[in-house]
Amino acid sequence: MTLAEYNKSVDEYADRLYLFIVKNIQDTEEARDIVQETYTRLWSRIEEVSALKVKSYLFSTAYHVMIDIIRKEKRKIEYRQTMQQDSIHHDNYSDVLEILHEAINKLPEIQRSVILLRDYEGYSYDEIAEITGLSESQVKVYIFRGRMYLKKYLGKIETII
Amino acid sequence: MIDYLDGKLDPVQTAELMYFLSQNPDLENEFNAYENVNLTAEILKFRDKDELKKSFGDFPTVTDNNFEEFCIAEIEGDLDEKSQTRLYQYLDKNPHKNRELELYQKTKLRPDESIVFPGLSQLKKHRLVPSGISRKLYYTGVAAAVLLIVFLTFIFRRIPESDLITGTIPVSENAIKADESMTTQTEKESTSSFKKDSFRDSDNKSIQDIKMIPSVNDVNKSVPGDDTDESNQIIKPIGIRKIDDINLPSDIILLKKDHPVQYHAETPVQEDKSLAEFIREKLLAAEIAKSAENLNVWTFAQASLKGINYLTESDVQMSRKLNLNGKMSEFSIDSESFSFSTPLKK
Repeated sequence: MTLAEYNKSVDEYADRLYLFIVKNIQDTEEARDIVQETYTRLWSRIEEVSALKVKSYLFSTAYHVMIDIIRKEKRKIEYRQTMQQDSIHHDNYSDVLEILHEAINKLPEIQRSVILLRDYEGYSYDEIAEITGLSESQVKVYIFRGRMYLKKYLGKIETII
Repeated sequence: MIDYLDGKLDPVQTAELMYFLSQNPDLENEFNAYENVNLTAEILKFRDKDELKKSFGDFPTVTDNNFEEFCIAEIEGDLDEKSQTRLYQYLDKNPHKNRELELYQKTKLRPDESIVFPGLSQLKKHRLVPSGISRKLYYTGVAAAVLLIVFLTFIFRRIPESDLITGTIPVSENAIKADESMTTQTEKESTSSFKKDSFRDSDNKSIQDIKMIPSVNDVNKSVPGDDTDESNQIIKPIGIRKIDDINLPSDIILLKKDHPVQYHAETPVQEDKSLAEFIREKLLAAEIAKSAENLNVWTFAQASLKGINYLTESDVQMSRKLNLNGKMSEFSIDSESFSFSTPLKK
């Protein structure tokens, strides 16, 4: 890809990549580092990655970098999420979105990632499979399980409210 | 033996086994026979695997057991028209199930547009190489220009200082000898004593003309000494002020006792080093010390950049990465105000 195409990919995908990572790990600073690392890797392979494949390359790279960090810092993230849960429980839920995002945080990382890729970016099953390294069937299964969990969580909260 | 065939023996155990077999040749033959019995899994694929797969259209009806699966497929957009019709027919018969479908529809996430990446411009790269010019050619030109500037700078700096100082009057050897015979007085005395015959020119002729300029306070005093006096008189100048060398006749040698002039006559000429030796000593010593390799273009480029940094009091660093074949795969230039790097074609 050319320099212009590289910079265009920054304009088009940096925000969406950042959103995807933030929603996954709930850490803006870490997410920023991941996005920067992703684009650094893209820059180092600018001659090899075509403009048509840059989006999937970016998300795939960011996903794997994120997974590596999650596995390394799993305990810290769980503690952080626990603290966030405790603080939220004391608040009144203002809308369904807030409940939904809380539910998303409770999902296993792989289910959370595939659902975010599906809903935020509109990736197909095979595209998600390519990004995450899963098979298409596995992607469908994870989405199915994730949706079921989210629906049950919403139903439970709304019943309480 | 079985553990050996399974690859479970460590090197020590394997060596012991081999030693045992060497001591028992009859068992060794049996062992070798077993070593050849080793099954490897064949890789076979079922060709019509996709035909075995089913879709939602293959469900004859929607039931309580598969209803949730249909709901999820509906929000994922996986239902064909026929399957959608079956789902809504089921909901018509079971209206309390509509709430379930609504909850599933709410699980569809929407991106939060307010979250943006901070510092987007920092991710972008800016072209330093003009378009239409190959990178190699451009970088080679830059390196050549830097080398040329540094070489010219250091060549001019090699000119000895003695050649650049103006106003120095070369003094003949005879004058030096004459000077050595002079006696000087202490600094408290405002005048110095000279022996007239001490002054000789390069032809060993006695200097007849000695200009002595009286001080401002001694204008009316007569100047002692007589040009025609050939006796060995001591001539006491009243006061000698600095006289511009340019105003002196060429055969007069001015000796300044209060402001001694440096003699540069017949100073030994330093042997000039060759350019290569000079470069090696001044520029490349540090670079050579770092690397045991012979000098190459990269070494020269590094030395040139070092010279530029010295002249401009800056700290621009140049680095490269080599691939497995020893060729440069990435090139970068870093400084306080900018940073540039680019991967190169493999």
